[in-house]
Amino acid sequence: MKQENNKNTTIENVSNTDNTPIIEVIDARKIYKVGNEKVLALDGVSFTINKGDFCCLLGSSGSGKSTLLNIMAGIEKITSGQVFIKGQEVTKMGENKLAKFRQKYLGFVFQAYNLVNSLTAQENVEMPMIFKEIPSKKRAAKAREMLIKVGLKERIKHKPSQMSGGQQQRVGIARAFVADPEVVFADEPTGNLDSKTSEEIMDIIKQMAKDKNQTIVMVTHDPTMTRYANKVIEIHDGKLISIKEGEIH
Amino acid sequence: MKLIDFTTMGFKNLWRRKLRTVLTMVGVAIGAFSIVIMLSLGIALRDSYTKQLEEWGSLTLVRIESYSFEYDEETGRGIEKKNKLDDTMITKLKNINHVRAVTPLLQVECYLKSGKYQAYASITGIDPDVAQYFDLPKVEQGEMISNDNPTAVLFGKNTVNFYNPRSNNIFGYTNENPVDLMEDNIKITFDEIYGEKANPKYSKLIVSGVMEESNSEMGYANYAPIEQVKKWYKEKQKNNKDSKKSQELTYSTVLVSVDDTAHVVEVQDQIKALGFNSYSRADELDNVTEISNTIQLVLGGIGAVSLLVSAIGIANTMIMSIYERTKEIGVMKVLGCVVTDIRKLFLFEAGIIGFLGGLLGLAISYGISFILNKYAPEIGGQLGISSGSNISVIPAWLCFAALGFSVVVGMISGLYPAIKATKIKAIEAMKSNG
Ligand SMILES: Nc1ncnc2c1ncn2[C@@H]1O[C@H](COP(=O)(O)OP(=O)(O)O)[C@@H](O)[C@H]1O
Ligand SMILES: [Mg+2]
Repeated sequence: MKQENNKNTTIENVSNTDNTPIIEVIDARKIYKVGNEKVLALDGVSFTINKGDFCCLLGSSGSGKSTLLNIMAGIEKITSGQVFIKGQEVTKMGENKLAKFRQKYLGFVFQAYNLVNSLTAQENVEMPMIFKEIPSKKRAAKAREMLIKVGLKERIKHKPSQMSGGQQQRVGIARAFVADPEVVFADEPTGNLDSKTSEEIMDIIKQMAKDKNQTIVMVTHDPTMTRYANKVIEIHDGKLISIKEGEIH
Repeated sequence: MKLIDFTTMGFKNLWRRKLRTVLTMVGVAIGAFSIVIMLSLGIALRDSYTKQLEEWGSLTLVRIESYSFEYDEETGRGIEKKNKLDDTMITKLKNINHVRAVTPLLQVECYLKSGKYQAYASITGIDPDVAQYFDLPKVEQGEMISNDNPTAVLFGKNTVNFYNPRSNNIFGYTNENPVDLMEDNIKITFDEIYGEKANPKYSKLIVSGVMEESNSEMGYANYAPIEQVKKWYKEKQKNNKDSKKSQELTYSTVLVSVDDTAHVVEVQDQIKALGFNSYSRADELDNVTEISNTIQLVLGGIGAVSLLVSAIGIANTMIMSIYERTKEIGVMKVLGCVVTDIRKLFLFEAGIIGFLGGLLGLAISYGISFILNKYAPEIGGQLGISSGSNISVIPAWLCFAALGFSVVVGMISGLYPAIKATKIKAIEAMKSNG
């Protein structure tokens, strides 16, 4: 109920953000154990992300950005600290609860697209809705609508192998947004793409998120990518360096 | 996930590894086929034995054989038995629960003469009122014996061989029976022809009818009403000087007809309690069932081993597929697929391999069964199956059992891979390799 109300008010809202925190990270710490070695990947990071934010996690390779994103999305276990999304403590959820939570609120765009090669673009986009048990007709219609939105009207029945990287990532974006998630996580979504295609992809993500006031958390090592964001969280060696806010564009 | 989505997703997953799926299925098919064919041979064997037994005589007949004298095991001397098979005992037998009818059997020897031909014959006395319960072959010509016409004899087919004593042929037999029982004039005597009586007293033989040919043990005999046979028997004893003064007549054989095969053992126990040993086809059926069960167990075991091998095949295929699908499963988890759905998907895929493999196995089984029955009946002969019977029988229950079993085997084989699949972590989706 609460969530519905939020949506209605934010759609009317002209501004992109409404200053209600949707993600809270409190003193997140992650230690990987490799044999007897311990790798401190995250060293006590705290910040909040508001609803409608386009947030960039910026840092050089190995700085711990991916680790941070995975922990926020409940994909990896936190060593200590807490992560709240929509007031729910993600870091405490069991596997089933997490799955349901992801179905409902989270979307993902992967660097390597991660499409199922044996399925068509449409079937790939339908995947999250299958887990959500949305009826097949509605599912198909929604998937097609999304693919048209990302400019793949002609590729609906194509398999990933018949598409370019940019096209595959568009399918990935359609899949991430199709179930109307409130937060979409993206780990280097343009990492495998050339600069022109990257730009197209970023525009699509930005446009999608704007339409429904969705929150984006994007990991990148490329400072030029921050131009799409209104919040940039920079980390280095697992530590938070800076948080910049405002329309950077 | 909904069932329909499991189905489509499962089939798609199987389809994208067509060759491996099909090969695994063939493994299951061979396993299912082995079990079905092996069991079908066992079933055919039992069917054929049972049919043979039924041909030889009804399963509800109990035969009591008893001799008034038996030998004492220690002294070797003859002692008189306490329990005699006489008319009072017959009344007692009739009163046993589930006993439909009882008749004594009494045999008397006689000679028949027709023109220049003569023949030896044995006439068995039976109670004509209950004769229908004792499995006599159908009457082909003439009619059934009855107390209204007590001296009329019902002959079995080809039980009397007339011969010409003065023929050049040493045995005097001709290929064709020279005397027609129904048409020709025949005389009968109960006197010993080669005994002391030089002039046997003949009387006219009255033929009631002739029965059909039959393999049944009751088929090779000639029947007359028991009361009449008793008279002939006593008469014969009177003439026989060696025989001691006859007291009450005791029978050596009594037949008991039981109302249902299921009660035969019970009745036999009661007869045992009265002091007699008895025999029934049901005893033999027990033996046959036991033998055929053993055969089926052995043959089925061979089949089961091949199904076990195919189960390992399924497990192998599913585990291979986990390694290939690690990333995909990780992605599914990230996209919100719950653990139970992943488990179900793997079990479903394994079950489908089992089901389709089983179906294929059944199809092969029916084909092989058909070919065996059509082109290889001599194999059946070696197995002891009577000619004319099928050597492979696949009843409906076996068909469904094989199919169900294949599915269960598939799912059991898929259990470990399914559990393994659920253990794959969502983080696999984030790894850049693969
Ligand atoms: N599964 C892991 N086991 C051990 N060390 C890891 C693992 N994942 C990441 N690390 C280490 O944690 C640090 C942060 O990694 P990561 O978050 O992937 O960096 P980034 O995404 O910023 O390049 C790195 O030093 C990396 O080697
Ligand atoms: Mg990374």
